[in-house]
Amino acid sequence: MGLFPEDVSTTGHMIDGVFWLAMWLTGVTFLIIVGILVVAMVRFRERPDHKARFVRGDSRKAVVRTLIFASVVFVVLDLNLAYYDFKAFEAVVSDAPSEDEALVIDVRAQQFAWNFRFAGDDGKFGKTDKKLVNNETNRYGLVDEDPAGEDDLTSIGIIYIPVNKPVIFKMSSNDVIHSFFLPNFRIKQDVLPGMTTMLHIEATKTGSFEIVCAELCGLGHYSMRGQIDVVSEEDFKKKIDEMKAAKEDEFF
Amino acid sequence: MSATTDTHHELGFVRKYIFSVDHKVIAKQYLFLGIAFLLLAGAFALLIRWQLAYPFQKLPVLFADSDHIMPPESYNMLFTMHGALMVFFAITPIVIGAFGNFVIPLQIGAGDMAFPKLNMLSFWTMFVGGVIMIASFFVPGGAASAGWTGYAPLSSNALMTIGWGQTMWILGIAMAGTSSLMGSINYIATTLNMRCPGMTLMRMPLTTWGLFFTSVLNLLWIPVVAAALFLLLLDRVGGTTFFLAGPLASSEGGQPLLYQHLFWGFGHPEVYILIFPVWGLVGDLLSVFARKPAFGYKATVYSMAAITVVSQIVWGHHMFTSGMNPIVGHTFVILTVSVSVPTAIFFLNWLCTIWHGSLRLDTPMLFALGIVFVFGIGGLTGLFNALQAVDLYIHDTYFVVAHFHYTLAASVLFGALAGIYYWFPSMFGRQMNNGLGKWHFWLTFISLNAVFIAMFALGIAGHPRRVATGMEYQLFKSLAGWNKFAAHSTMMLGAVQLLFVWNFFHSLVRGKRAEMNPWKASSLEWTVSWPQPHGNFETVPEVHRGPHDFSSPEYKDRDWMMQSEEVPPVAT
Repeated sequence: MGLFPEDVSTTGHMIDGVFWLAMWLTGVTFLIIVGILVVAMVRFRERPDHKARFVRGDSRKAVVRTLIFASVVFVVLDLNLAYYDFKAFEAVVSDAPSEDEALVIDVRAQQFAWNFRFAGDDGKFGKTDKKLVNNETNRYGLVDEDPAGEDDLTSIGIIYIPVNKPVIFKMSSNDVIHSFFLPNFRIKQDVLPGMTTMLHIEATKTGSFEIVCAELCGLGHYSMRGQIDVVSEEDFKKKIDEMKAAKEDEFF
Repeated sequence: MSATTDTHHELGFVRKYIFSVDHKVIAKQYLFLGIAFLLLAGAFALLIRWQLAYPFQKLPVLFADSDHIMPPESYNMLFTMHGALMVFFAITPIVIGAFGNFVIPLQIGAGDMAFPKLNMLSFWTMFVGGVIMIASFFVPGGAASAGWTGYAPLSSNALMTIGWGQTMWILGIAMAGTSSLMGSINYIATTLNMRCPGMTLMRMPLTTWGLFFTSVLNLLWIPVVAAALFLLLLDRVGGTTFFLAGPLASSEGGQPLLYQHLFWGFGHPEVYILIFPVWGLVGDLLSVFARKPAFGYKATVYSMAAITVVSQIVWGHHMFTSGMNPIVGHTFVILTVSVSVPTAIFFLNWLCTIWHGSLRLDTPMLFALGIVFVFGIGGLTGLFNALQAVDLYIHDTYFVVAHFHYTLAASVLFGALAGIYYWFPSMFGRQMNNGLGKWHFWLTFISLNAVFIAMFALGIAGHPRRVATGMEYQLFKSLAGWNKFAAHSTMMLGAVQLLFVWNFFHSLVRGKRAEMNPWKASSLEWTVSWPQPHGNFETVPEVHRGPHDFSSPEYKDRDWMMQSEEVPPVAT
């Protein structure tokens, strides 16, 4: 079905795979149900010469058959799907890259925008304090005294990431619950106030992709759009340099 | 008690029709309340689909303050109230309030409910809740807008959802919950203690079984959601921070996920609370209209019992992406998919019931067969949502919306309609128009499937739910056609319900007088001629057999025998 958005992640195909497996299994099951239903409606319609058969379905034979049927359903539909789902989930979520090899981005959601923060050259994020959070002037609640925060780079609404490199998003919210949904990467994770949730991706293709807020967060929820621009390693360095320059301009 | 309850003194109008303690009158009160809210919340669905198909375009008459364009906050109110009203004030009063009250005492041969006054109080509590919900549209700030699930801290923080609406929503839902709690105590007590002689538990019609398990779940889990609502209310008006955390909380704060655990702890059993009466009804209807015993009656009852247990420990599948520990998630996956085992037994028994039957395709039967179809889709797509990896993509998209509308909107609504067509003769002494009913079924069936299949398509494409428009995103611009298709199908679905409304109200006053037991069923409610007296049975019935012994070779002239009839000795 051409409805799925383009998959540009290393792991999205696994999720699509489980989806299609479920589609096949449930589709066939459904066709069997409807087939029996339609045949019964035609074949066993009330007719003068036809009488219903008196069967209660509580004989020993019927009970045994029911139990066999239930076991088949449990194995073919349930365990089968749960197994592949488990495998996919392990690969997509549990096998997280280490923070050393990945690019770590600190995501802060607010009504109705996405904020992003890189650690800068020192590789360390500056300390934050929730009491200092101000949705206009200090969205992360950065503590001025912490030197690690001086070279942190922030952006709003749009984020650049390099292609073919694992990226970890560490996320929290300044107000209500939001959800960080990347349709092109087949993944989402709710973003909550007061706790940090994580999500990791690796892009296989450059281009511009959208971030959808998938948890109702208020009247502007529908417009809480963000953007991920996947660029080559060189372009990424250039973008970071541009951000640094812009930060210095702002400072002076 | 039961049949000998003596109420021969004449009651005044108020005692007889308004503050009545007669379970049959209370059932009709619930029915009218439910139908009214069904139409109101259905109208909201039309507006919701209009906005999605034609975002921020002018509507006639409505939204005069904003130049006839629906503001996004009004959109949020509409889908919030659509869900809340449908679940708590339309479906609950019809399938549990009306059917439960009408059917349980009649089907088990009791004179009334165990606690008639509590029964009356239950209805009026729900009525007050409904008034609060409607009134909330007219208060400053408008109605609630945090979704039918009312997730905190959006719902708990008065800065995030401004005005009285959200507070009134909490109170309204709490009233509905209290009403259901009173009802469930009544249903359980009545079912366990007031069955007539010979009516063993395993001779009860499946509808009564369904309502019994519904009541068990209600009794166990409404207190939990009541606790959640109480804490929400305290957060909202009392300055506590049970569910508030992060920069908005002045202290360390509480835990927003706690609300979700409490809500879904109730919320998942709730879907079975709503579907059990319908499953029971389908079992009974397929048997009556196929003129065959319900296949595997005991297996059906045990399956329902199994789901009653398992449904209480699966709520985590609503929270796979919430930030809950993913290891817990695996457990919830296994538990959730295992619900499909008893559910599969249901389908097996339904299909075996009609196989080799003699099918009479009257309106109630069409709706019952329709449920096998739509619940097939609803149940099977539940498997997708039960899978943690798949849920990473489809959670909070229209896929989920389509799934739960197939189970609730399609299956439960079909059950409600099937039940109304089926019991109408017993309730009102008249017959609804069968031909019109069949038209109503087929047109509803087509348009309803069109609406929700479009939603599946939207969901697979990633379209999120609860957005006033998806057109802010480049990704979803190409889905405008699906949104329009869904809107037009919804309009058709709404329009064909007028057939039902006309049929219902016209039949109420002008319908053909119903004969006794028009469907040739065998359960006890069809032994009482209309109008049933207060107290139901003139003499206490005695039951000799199960509820669906159709086409037994023992019977000579006809293919059914009432549960209370004795088989006459065969003349040789």
